[in-house]
Amino acid sequence: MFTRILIANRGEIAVRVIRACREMGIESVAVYSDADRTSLHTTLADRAVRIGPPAASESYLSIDAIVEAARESGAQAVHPGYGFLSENQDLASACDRAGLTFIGPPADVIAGMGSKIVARRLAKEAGVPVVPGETPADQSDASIAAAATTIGLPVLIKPSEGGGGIGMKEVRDGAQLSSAIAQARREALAAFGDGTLYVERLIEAPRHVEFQVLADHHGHVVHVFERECSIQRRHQKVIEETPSTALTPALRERMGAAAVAVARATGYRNAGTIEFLLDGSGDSAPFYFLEMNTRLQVEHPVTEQVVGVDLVRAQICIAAGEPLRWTQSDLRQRGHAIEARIYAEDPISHLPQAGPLLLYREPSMPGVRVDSGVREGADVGVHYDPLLAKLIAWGETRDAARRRALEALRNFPVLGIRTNIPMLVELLEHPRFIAGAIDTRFLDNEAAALAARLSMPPPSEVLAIAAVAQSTGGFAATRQSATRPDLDPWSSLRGVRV
Amino acid sequence: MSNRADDDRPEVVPLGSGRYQLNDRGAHRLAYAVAARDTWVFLDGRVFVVPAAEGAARRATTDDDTALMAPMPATVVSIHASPGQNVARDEVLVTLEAMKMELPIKAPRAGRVTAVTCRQGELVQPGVRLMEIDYGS
Repeated sequence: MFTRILIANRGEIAVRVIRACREMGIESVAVYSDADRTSLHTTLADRAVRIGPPAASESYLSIDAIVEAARESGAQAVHPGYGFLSENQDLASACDRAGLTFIGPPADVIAGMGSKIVARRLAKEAGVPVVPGETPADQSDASIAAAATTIGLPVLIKPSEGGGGIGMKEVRDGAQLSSAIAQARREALAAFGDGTLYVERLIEAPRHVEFQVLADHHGHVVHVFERECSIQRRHQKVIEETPSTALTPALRERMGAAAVAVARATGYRNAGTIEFLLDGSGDSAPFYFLEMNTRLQVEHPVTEQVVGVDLVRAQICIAAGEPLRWTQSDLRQRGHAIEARIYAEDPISHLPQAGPLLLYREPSMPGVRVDSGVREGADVGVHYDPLLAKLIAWGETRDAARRRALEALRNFPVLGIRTNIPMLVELLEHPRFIAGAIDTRFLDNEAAALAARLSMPPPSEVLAIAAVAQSTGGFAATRQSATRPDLDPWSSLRGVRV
Repeated sequence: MSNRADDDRPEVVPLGSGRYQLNDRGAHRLAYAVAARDTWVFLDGRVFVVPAAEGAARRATTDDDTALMAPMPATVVSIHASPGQNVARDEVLVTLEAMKMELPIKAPRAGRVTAVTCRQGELVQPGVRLMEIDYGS
């Protein structure tokens, strides 16, 4: 086992890995930019190495700086966390060359899964369905129309060389097919100088369901069940949970087997996640391989709470060459867990927020876990991801977990900068969320209604609290009063009527 | 601060460290608040940012920083300084009452009172001048 690990990340995930190291008797080495000199992860680690100025490109994304920090600090392994360099094969290769263990899959697997074309081919070869689609060799209108008919309506016709939704046409009705093809071709030529078209089955209102896998260096691969991640806004996940309300035992078994098959086909090592699009629900619902994330996921704690597996510990053990501690049949789901991501963003405009955390108090109650990268008094900057913390609630049932998450969020005051906590409260109370009737378009469709409910002016009791807070000189004064009873204007009062 | 317990309006009890208990006809709710440039209030998962006062906001947009202004609609309870008097920083110059609470209005810096522009018992609106102070330079 390693005696010292460098964590090439910041924020809540760096804190998560530092804690795992400490529990395992491993020294942790944090890296920090100038913006993170006093951040939680920097001060919590056993050692900390400065790696550059605030700009991520010159610090957390600098492979040279990170490998040098590992060498300088005598670390034997590097944990990349998520984001930043976690899916960069060059960091994995650089670690290999420097004699460091990269806590993740081999560099060539990262490279392969980073290519949509290679990943799709490997999944197909492993017998795992991908979203049906093709670029017909014969690009005549008739041949494109024939391909659309073969794939089955509704379809998406899009430029083969495209991106960003340009030239993308949804076709639901065969009568619209020829005009859609002509239009997509014109737009493709205009935008990309290439009229080659790709035809793909349109999955309307799919669910995003992913499977956690663990693979060791001894040929063992297990899946650690699913996570439902359909509550997202423009591909940014907001709420994740497990189990998924859409999965039956039979469907779960099929998807789990598919996930393991993809992991085996790629020669995967360590923790990874296979993302699927799920079309509907029930035993025979079709699902399609989307992509593989070759790293730890932000939402890994819901799996940990429900399956009782410490995924970060498992990553470290696998990287140290230990065999998996479980066979597939050892792993069971117990109860339900929901994660809510706390972002430093305006809940209405969704703009990232920066400023001081004047007050930041994490809730502490049964079944609730908070993975956080900040503390009260910290300054939230503009340089990095706006994720402040994750709140994870476990319950015997989905509704128990939901109610716990709700109660915890109602007791999670963050003041000084706007966060999405008020929006999360609304979401967890939404009838469609309560019913589990969610898909990836849910949040985008509901955004306006949620914003309207959040825009209400302060009620009178809030104005009363504000008036008392102002008249007592704010938080600093009340803190002083608490420690200096002789100065406390409130000490002679039972309360203040307003 | 005064406390008039003879009615059933909501009561706010500071608990320290930014915590406040809201008592409304026997029901208790915990709130959190911080008064910075604006006042931030957290109640039941909702966050409200209450401007320090209309007056304070207006003061920030004028060049006139010699005037001491009312931060909210209030009644002038007492005036503690008179023209020509030297005052120290944080000395209470005027006491207002609003929402059944007395609010001490303090000198932001040391200076000399040049004019008193409010009367005892007067109802003042946010941004209304209470006093003029010469802070020297």
